[in-house]
This record gives sequence, C-alpha cells and structure tokens, in this order.
Amino acid sequence: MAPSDAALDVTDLHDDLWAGILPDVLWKGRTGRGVRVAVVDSGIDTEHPALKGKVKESVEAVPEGGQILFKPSTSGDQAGHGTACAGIITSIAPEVELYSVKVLGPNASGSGEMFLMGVDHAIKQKMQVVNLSLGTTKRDFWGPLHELLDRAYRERVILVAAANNLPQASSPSIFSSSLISVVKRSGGEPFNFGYQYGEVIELVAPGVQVETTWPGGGYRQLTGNSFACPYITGIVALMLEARPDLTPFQIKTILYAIAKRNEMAATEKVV
Amino acid sequence: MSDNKNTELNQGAAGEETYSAAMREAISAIDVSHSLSQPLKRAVDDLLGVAAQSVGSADASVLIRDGNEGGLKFLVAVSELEEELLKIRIPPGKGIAGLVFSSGQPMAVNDVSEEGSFWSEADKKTGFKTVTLLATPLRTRNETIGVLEFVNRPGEPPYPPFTPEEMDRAARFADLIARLVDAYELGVLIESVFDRAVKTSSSSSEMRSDLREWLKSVDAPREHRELLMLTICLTEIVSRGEAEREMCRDLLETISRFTERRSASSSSYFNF
Repeated sequence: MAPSDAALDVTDLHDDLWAGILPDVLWKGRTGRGVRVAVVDSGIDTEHPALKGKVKESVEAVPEGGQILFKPSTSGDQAGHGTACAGIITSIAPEVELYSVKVLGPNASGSGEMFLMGVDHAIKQKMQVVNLSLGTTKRDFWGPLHELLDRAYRERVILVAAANNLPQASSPSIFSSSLISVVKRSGGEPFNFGYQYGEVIELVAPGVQVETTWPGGGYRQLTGNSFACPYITGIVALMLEARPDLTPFQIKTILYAIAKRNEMAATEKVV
Repeated sequence: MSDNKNTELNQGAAGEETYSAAMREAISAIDVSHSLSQPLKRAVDDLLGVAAQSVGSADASVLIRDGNEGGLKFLVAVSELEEELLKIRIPPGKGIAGLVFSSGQPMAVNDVSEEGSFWSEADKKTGFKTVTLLATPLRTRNETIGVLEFVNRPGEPPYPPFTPEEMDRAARFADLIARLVDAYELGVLIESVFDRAVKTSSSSSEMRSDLREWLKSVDAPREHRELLMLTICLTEIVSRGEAEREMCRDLLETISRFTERRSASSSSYFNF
C-alpha cells in the first residue's frame, strides 16, 4: 500500500505529537529566575519601583571613531518604550535578569546600524532571550540582520520581535524562520496566546491598552505590537528556567503547540 | 589677438551676463521655487483632514524629519493651533512621536497626562492639552520619513482610547501620506537646486561643482541628496561627448533593471 493510501488520521497524530507539551510542565510555578533577558530598546528606568533591582546591567550605543561601542548607561529611558517592555516581561517572569541595551533615544538616535549592533551585542553577551519591540524598514540592513539572526539561532539565543502588520514588512519580524514574531490582539490572558499560521506573523498576544511601567515611577495604558512582544518574551523566559537546554527550534514548536491548544479551547467555548 | 576681437568677446560676455540676469529675474517672477512642493503639501493637508475624520480624532498632524539625527518638525496640522505647531521642533528621541519615529512601531497612549514622563514642550508652547494620542510611522519603501499623529477626540474629555481598528486605519492613511511626503521632500530639494542654479552666474562646470558642494551640506534627506548628486554627475559626464552619453544611458538602464529586480524580490517577503 502506498503511504498516501494509509488510513492515517492526521488529527489523531497531531494530538499524539503535542500531548506531552503542557503548561504545567513548562512554566507553572516558574518565575524566570536567573534567565538572562536583553531588552534592545530605549533603555530601562532602573529606579522604577516595579523594576528596581531587576536590571543587572544597562549599556547604550555610543558612536566613537567611526565605530559603535556599548558603554555603561546612566541616562535611563527618556522615551519610555523600553521601560514599558521591561514592565510587561517582569509581570510574567518577575525574577529574570534584565539587561538593557539602549539603541533608541536622544543619545542613540535610533539608526538602523545601532539597532543591528544592539542585537549583535546581546548575542555576544550570551543572552538567553532578546526582546525586540522595534524594527527597521531599511532594506540595506536586512542582509546583515538576517546573518545576525542565523548566528543567534546557532548560539541558542531566542529572539522575540514585534511584528509590523500593516501595510509594509519590516525586519526582523519578517525573518520568521529564525525568530518568534508577535502581533497584538485585544484583551485576553497573557498565557492564552494564539497563532496565525501561514502569515509572516506567528503568535498573537495581548497588546491593547496594556497597563505597564513608565519612566518616573508611573504606569501607562499602551496599545501596539511592541507591547504584545514582551509577553511572549516573559513566557519564553519561564520555559528556559524549567528547561535551559531548549533550542530556538524546540521553543517555537512548543509555543505553536500551546497556541494551537489555546485556539482550539477558545473555539470549543464558542461552540 | 587684435583689440577689436577682444572688444567683441567682452561685449559677448557682457551680453550673456545680461541675458542670464534677465532669465533669473523672469524665473523668480513666476515663483518656480514653490511650484513643485506646494501642491503636494496641500494634498497632504487635505488627506490629513480626511484621515482625522476617519480615525475619529479632534486634531491630527504630520511630522517630518528635521535634519538627519532623529529630530522632527511639523509639516501640516489639522488644528486651530496649526500656526504655533509649525514653529515647534522635536529633539531626537523626545516624545511619543520621537519614539515612534525611531522604533518604527505604531503606538497608542490612553492618557498622557497620567503620572510619568511625557515630553510636553509642544503643549506648553501652544497651550494645548494632549490627553489621548495615536502615533504611527510614515514609511516609504526604504525609510521611516516621519510620523502621523492623531490627538484627542471631538468634544470634551474624558476621551475613549484609540482602538486597534483605528490604529490599522491610521496605518493605511500613513502609507498614502508617506508617499506624498516623500514626493514633497524631493520636490523641495529639486526647487532648491533649481533656485541655486539660477542664481549662480558661473560657467556650467563651475555651477555643477558648486551644486555638488552645496548638496553635501544642505539639510535634506540623504536618499534625495544622493539621487540629485547622481543626476549632477551624469549631466557632467554626458556633456563630454557621444561615447559618454551612451555610457550614461547604459548605466541608467542597468540601475532601472536592478531597481525592478529588487522590488520584485522584496515583495516576495510578504508572501512566504
């Protein structure tokens, strides 16, 4: 009998394949303790009450002699974006070790080159997870960025990037083979994330009116894919605490399995 | 050379100068210097009005690059305070607009007046009160060139926050407005080059050399400056003879084919 004629129920096989992947095993009771998470962004307000003591190191991109160097940063976060992302990550994984890599803001005006060097720095520093709630549409940078992402993949650095859902593609979220890309949705519980198979965007997480930390000790309600991305970063940190040996390939597979289960559960509820 | 011939030459040069001066005067009289950019700016303004209505905001503005360091300035605004807004410069990385410009990610903030930092210089200078805000980047194929901002709702606060659907709608308008803004910026630069060329009374080669030097320093988007620099270089090469003209034609055709191939391969990113 040809393989195509076999009475194979794909649904059963699918259920068997993913049956052992359960949140209980993966992250229940975990806090992300000791997992190294880089936030490549506008800096983090290290004095914010919700973040105090959680930021292990802050560096910022400094152009010097035709090069971009990373030096200790004392300028905090004038823009707020990085602080907002850090607050979301720690709301999921309160004991992660945060590393702020500042590439946006008044002292690092946000060139594509600085962004690339920030990712490079995070890989060199052997971060386990890198949150990228930013991107570039400059096609000149897509080639070098793709190489960087491949390097991250080989070195087991998990990159989580905010998608750019309308109307143009921006990197790195389009390079879906070597990183996890995330888009916002309205409401929902962070662990109840979903997926969009067949799209450049892969995971769907809460990103509408998210209450999170803001420089100066306050909080803001923010909307954007930028704020869906850190939820997944936090969840990946929990998984890495439980199983530090997981590779990017395995993590993506697990996230897909859980997202599929979440979506199926949501459909059953509706029915 | 005889004295008569010298006199003829001098008279010829003087005549040419008078002719150039007359040309310059005539051109300035018909105000060529705004004929390209102003219609485009008006189109941006009109489209912004439609966008504000569609997104449901009280005020809206288009901010464009101010220099090459990440600063922003207002191009047009749908606001009673438009005149004041147009004078404001936003330093690199400041405010929600600066953040959206540098991160390339759209963002909505429910209430900027809540506790925490907010770059409120624009509000202080205009007397305006920003409460709820939606900002989305203006992108061309290769660059983020500005920010489209929607501020507050019609009526009195408290205002309902901007929704994800309104955010998507704003992104679609941003795509259209970005194309117009890109054309506007190139138009402004071409007008400046034209204006400078008209005012330069030197020979053609000196004029091109002067334009090249000036283009290096002028405050305009890099990609537009490079495009015009290429144009000036090609003009100079073409003036040397038929063989050079042929070479430039080949070069332009090669660039055109490269651009087409690149566009085709880039668009495939959307499909996989």
